[in-house]
Amino acid sequence: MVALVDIERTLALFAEGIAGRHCHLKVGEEDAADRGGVYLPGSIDLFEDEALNAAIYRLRVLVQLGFREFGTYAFDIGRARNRLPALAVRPLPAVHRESDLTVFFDHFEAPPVARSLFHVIESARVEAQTLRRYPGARKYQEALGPHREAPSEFLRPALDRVREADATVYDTAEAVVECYDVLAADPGETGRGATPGQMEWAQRDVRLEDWESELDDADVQVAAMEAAEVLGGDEVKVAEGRGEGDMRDVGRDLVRARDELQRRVDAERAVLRQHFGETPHDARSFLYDEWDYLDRRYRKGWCRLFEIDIDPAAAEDGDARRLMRSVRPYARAVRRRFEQIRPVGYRRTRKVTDGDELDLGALVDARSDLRAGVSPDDRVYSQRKRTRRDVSAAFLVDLSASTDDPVEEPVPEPTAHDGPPQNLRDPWFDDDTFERERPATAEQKRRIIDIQKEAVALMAMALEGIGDEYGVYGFSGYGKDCVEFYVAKEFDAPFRRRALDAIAAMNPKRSTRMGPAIRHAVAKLAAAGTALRVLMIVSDGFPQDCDYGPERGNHEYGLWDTAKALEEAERAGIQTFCVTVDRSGHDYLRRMCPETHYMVIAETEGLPAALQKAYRQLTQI
Amino acid sequence: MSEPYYLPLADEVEVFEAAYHSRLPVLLKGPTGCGKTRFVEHMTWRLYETSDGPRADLDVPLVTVSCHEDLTATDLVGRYLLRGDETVWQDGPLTQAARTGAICYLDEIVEARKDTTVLVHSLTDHRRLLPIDKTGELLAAHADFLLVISYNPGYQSVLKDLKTSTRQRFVSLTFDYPDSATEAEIIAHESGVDADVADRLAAIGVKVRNLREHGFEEGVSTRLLIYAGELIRRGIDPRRAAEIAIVQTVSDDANVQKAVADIVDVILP
Repeated sequence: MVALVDIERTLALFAEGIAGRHCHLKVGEEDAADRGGVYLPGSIDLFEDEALNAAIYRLRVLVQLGFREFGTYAFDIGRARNRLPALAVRPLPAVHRESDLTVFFDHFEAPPVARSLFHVIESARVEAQTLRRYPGARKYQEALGPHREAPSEFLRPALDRVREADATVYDTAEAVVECYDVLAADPGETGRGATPGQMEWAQRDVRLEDWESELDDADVQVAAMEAAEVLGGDEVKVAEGRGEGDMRDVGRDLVRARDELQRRVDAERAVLRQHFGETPHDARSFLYDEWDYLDRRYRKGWCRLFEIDIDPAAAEDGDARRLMRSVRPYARAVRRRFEQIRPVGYRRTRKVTDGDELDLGALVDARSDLRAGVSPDDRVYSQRKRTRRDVSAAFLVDLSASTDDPVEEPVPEPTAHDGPPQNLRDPWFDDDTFERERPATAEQKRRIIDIQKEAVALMAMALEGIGDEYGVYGFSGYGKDCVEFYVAKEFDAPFRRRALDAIAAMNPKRSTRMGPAIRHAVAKLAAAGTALRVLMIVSDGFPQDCDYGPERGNHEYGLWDTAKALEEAERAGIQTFCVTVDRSGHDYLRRMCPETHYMVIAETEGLPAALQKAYRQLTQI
Repeated sequence: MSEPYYLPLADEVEVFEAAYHSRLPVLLKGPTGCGKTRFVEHMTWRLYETSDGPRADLDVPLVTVSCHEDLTATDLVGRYLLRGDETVWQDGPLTQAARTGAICYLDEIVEARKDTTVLVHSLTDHRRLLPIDKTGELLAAHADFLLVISYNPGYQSVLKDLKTSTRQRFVSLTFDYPDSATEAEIIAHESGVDADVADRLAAIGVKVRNLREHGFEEGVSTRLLIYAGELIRRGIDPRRAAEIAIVQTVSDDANVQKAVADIVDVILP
């Protein structure tokens, strides 16, 4: 038997290679892949040979993705009506929100019958096309032979026809029209298909993608037109040979069309979101095991974690400025403290066998050796070598709802090192307008999340100074199937305004399922390839989630899982450190990690300093 | 020298010729193994070997330097070597090309240290001069000399991005992997496999490149697909050939390797 969770990672990669986009693999009965994912059985146990069972998974992935690849969703009702006169007797609605497939089924007296027929015939067509394009999968299909249900006799001619190389979705439509009468006479044959099915929703989803790209084009056109009006309206007019009034009309039409499209896209997005749920479908998803301390075993592939890039534009107006203003008083001091530690840059190494310059001292020695009849040292060059620290760090920030709580704050006092900005390329000092910003108003209470962000931002700045690689991530989520892992900055991304905006845009979300977030950060660190890897977790409370353990409100399960995840990190050679602003943190942190690997901060304000101290200790600098 | 095979994807041959005749430095952008180097070889052949003038007699018409992160200005310009009791100056590849009038191709220029990119500045504007500080020579480039550089904007880290001041001295030609049909034609020509096998290999290329983000940003190059084709032509079983040339080569991550092997498995008959 092969279970999906055991081969999920490679199968997801396989699907991504075939489809060209990330696919969530889920356990389900559906036949075709859609935005929710590719639906597969939880396990396959058809053959003795495990490799063959796994290959059946791949076959199913290919066929599910085939509906999109081989044009099922490109079905256009207008074209179908042109080709099939039998359909044209029914009026076609001028505007329809439903998918073209739904409209097609509605052409029949009994849409459910048409829907079922289409489903069977189109599946046969897509399967045949899939095996033609991926002939290596044919052997698996043949192995599957005895396990498959034989189709009804009356469908056979239609199925043979759509299995031909040049058959399209319209051939399926034609076959549906032909077979419909036979089946409609005996509706007992079908029990399914009363409501729009998965394929129709998938088609609407694909259609939405088309609309979205049309909308992008329309935006570009409108922007170009507006720019032309501002910059060189006269030339455009002359070139187009039109009067000013015409131009304005054209512009108005463009804008109107764009707005109309925008409304349609928004409405469709809302409908589809309701159907497919809130799943962040353009994010990658990963399955992680979870430690069940009651059973003393891992629950395989238990949690689904979505990796979501934080959109820097999501930061509210002034978020980045506020963040900047709060850290700026400390910025120089922190940076100096870190810079004392280890200079980065080039150093000249003397006496090497190859280099860009001759080393005069070594040369003189070599010459005198030769004169003295001694064998000379041939290391007569010098070379500039780059020195760098081999460290990468991941900062994992708890974005649970409780981080929205306000803190009692002493106003930050500027340090003695505070001075005017020096480096204009530095994102910390790149905007003079900060000086002129209005001061923070009293009613803007600082929250725990604000302090967390400041601490991380200060660390970012310090690490920029010494050249360590670092990533900034947040985590939250709700339930085991929706752990959210937010990416503000990846290891290799530069620290520019964009990263700062993304940190500023980190906001309190939902729960704190720490285990999977730690495991994901560990996977990222493990891939970083540096000698020293550090994971720093900044949180405000114990791990908790709606289904983190058998009883809600009992945190034992979450503690054990988090402790296990930290242990896995240590085993993978990653140093971990937890910092919490929860004063009762000692109670549970003591049980999750060794004493030297955590810190409880009484005053939230102390977080930045604590984080720096911990980091310096961890990286032994 | 026989003509290096190159199948044009767009108007790059004409553009390069025009640039050469005006001695405009050329920047080639594109992923590894998509044919940039072959293109430069082909163009050198067109512009030098088939020329009527003295260019045709040049011994080394193309000087290629593969840049790496320890490549210094000295490595390009030249250095003093010890020979017996004296030090003698040895021209580096860039100096050699500028002196003789060859094409100098700096492959993956952003990999090199920053000081090397600044070196090319005076060579790439109207001055066409190469200052050699160690000898005090100010070398005026030969009339036929042309500088061509390449870089791969996708895979190098942002930190290693080409400086704008450098980039703006070049005319840019963008390369990408050819479409599936063209790539199949190239594979068939270069490796000698039949059209069907070439089609299959090209299809593998397309699918495997979908996994570019998973630790091998460069995807699978046309070059690797050709290698697979050559092994097949020499009688190696197609699956085995693909495993050696593609699966084992694109990534060291076991999961990615397995996924690539699975893709190969379903695409090959």
